[in-house]
Amino acid sequence: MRFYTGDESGLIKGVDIDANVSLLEAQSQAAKRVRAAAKAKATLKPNEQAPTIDTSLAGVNLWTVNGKVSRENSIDQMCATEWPTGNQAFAVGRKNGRLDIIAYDGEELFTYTDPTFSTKPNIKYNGKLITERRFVGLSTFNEHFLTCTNLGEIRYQSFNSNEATKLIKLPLDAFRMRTHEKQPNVFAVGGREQELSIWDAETVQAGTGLAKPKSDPIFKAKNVPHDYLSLRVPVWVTDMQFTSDDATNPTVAISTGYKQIRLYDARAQQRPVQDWEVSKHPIYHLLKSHKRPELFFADNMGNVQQMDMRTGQVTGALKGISGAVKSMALNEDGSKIAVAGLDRYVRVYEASGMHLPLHRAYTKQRLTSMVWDWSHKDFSTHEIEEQEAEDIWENMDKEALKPKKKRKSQLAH
Amino acid sequence: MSFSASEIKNKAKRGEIYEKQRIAKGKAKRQRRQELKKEEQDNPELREARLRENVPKTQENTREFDEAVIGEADEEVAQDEEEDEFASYFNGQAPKVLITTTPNAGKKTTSFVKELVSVVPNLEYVKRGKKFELQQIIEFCKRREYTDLVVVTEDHKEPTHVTLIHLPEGPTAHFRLTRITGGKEISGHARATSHFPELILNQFSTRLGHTVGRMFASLFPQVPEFQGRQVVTFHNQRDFIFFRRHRYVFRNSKRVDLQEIGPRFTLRLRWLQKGLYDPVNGEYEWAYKADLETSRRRVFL
Repeated sequence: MRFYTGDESGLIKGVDIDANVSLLEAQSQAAKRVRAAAKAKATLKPNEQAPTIDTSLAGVNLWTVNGKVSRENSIDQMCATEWPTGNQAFAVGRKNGRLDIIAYDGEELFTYTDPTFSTKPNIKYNGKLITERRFVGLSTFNEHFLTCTNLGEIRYQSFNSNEATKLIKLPLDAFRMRTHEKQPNVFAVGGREQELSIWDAETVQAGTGLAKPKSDPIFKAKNVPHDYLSLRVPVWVTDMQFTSDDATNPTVAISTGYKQIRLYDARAQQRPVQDWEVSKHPIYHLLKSHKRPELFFADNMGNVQQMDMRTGQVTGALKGISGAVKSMALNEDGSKIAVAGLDRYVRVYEASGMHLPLHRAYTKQRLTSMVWDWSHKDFSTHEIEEQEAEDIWENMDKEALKPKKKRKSQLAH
Repeated sequence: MSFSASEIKNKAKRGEIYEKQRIAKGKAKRQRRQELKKEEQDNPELREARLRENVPKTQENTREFDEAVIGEADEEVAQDEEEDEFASYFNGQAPKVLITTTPNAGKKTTSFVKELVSVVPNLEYVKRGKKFELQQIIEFCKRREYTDLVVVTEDHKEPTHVTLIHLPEGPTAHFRLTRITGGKEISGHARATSHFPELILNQFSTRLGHTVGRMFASLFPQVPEFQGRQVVTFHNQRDFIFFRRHRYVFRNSKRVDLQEIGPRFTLRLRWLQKGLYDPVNGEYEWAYKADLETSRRRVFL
């Protein structure tokens, strides 16, 4: 299995994990290696050099795709994209406002620096001071990129131009922007005291310069009714996931910083159709399984849990993650989930059943984003054996298989 | 031919045979050791070889394999550390530290805090009032350009936790405080002076350990005053951080004598949060959870 990670030092790393090596086996092998190296070091003659210990687990291969260690260039958002020439690439949004498109092999294909990042904001909003600008969402489609900053500035810009095709100003303090997988022109935005709103980047009418949009969103959510004390329920949308293929009447699941998960249906009503309080801590990331009606949600302390979207019940949890999870991804058949976060590991777990930890890879940086490369196929041992058997048949001498002609002398009797 | 005494059904006989075997075993072991001693007296190289190779397994050297342990000369880690939140300290910025407690602190806590004021040079103690929340205090400290804020938490009239907040945007570390002994309670203790101490940070081996070690380092002035002959030690062993402060003196070129100044306490990291103190909404780089304790041989620092 192959992953690509973006981290706080601005590096993009590739991680290859061999699915056939079990974690226990790899750990015990590594421990033996370390002990052997320590023993070798202890029994050194005075002139010999200490052997270097290979401090990595078996079956894990790590390499840097692109970048040099630099906190300024730390990656805030990363997504997989396709460059017009057909290259597989990453779109990367950095802390200093730089937007890069980097191919899987590390070649830098495109770069653009958002000019608004050069001035530091100092805005009082919602009782606190906003002093930094950062990307909260990034996506590319149709040779355009679509970015959103935490000040609600949406930039829809073509790769070829220095000017935005569309610039929209949404309310301040946006927390996340996500696009629909099948229809990437449709995006959802939400934040602190900013309810979920869903827009279409191609049809929205922008004002002149950076101004409020002139047209309405596809969907604008409404807050839940007042609680049992008749007090207004505060709003803090932290992540959203589109739960159906329909982009004209979207259904969305959101997670909130107040430990709730809500489901919306544009055809039904503006208020959430479901509102569950499922977590003990603020939920910061959400992932919908593309194979089952389930959601995985991650909070700020490294707890990742799985819940059923139909009943609202928590059906499992991933154990052993020590730091906040910043990115989650499923494999193609939805049977495994990978998480990456501030604890500097990429961990792979079963997505159902016992949720056992299957693999882990230590990348030396705090990870902010991760992409699971489905196009990289690794073969299971069963498939390898089948392939080998086929090869044997292919290479066999075809002549030897033909039925031998019986001799006349043998036939006659 | 040796057989197991446990196969004999008769208890008295079984005990007899087992006792005989035990004595014989002890005798054989003593004999073997005597022979070895004789051999090593004649050939000192054998002794050295035995000492080198026959290292017994301890909890420290059977530590569970951890990829996060920083190898020697790891370039990427070094480059990252050049740019991390403590880079300004390691590039020369003088530390300016403030210490305070939770409101209504009692005698034990304030006396502990006053001892800490003697440990860390230029540490300022401000009595905590009830007017301002911790978030506001952090803002005040940032405005007045403090580099660190230390908060000692009191519970049941005793100091229980220490929170170390690196400013302006640095990580926040929260430790459990145990086994506090004041300097006065240590028999034969030395007297402290106001010289800048030397700093020893032992066995902070993983990436997390490095961050915590650097946090401690950034409290003290970069250049110690060797004239003062004072040394402060943060020794990490299996995730327990032992704090000691000593005065040393060289008697001759071969012998050094130590005298403890105190205080003495133990810290245990509970969580490390990225950003300023915000335990509810902040993102944690490492937080202790019971399901991290998968084996006795596993440590994180």
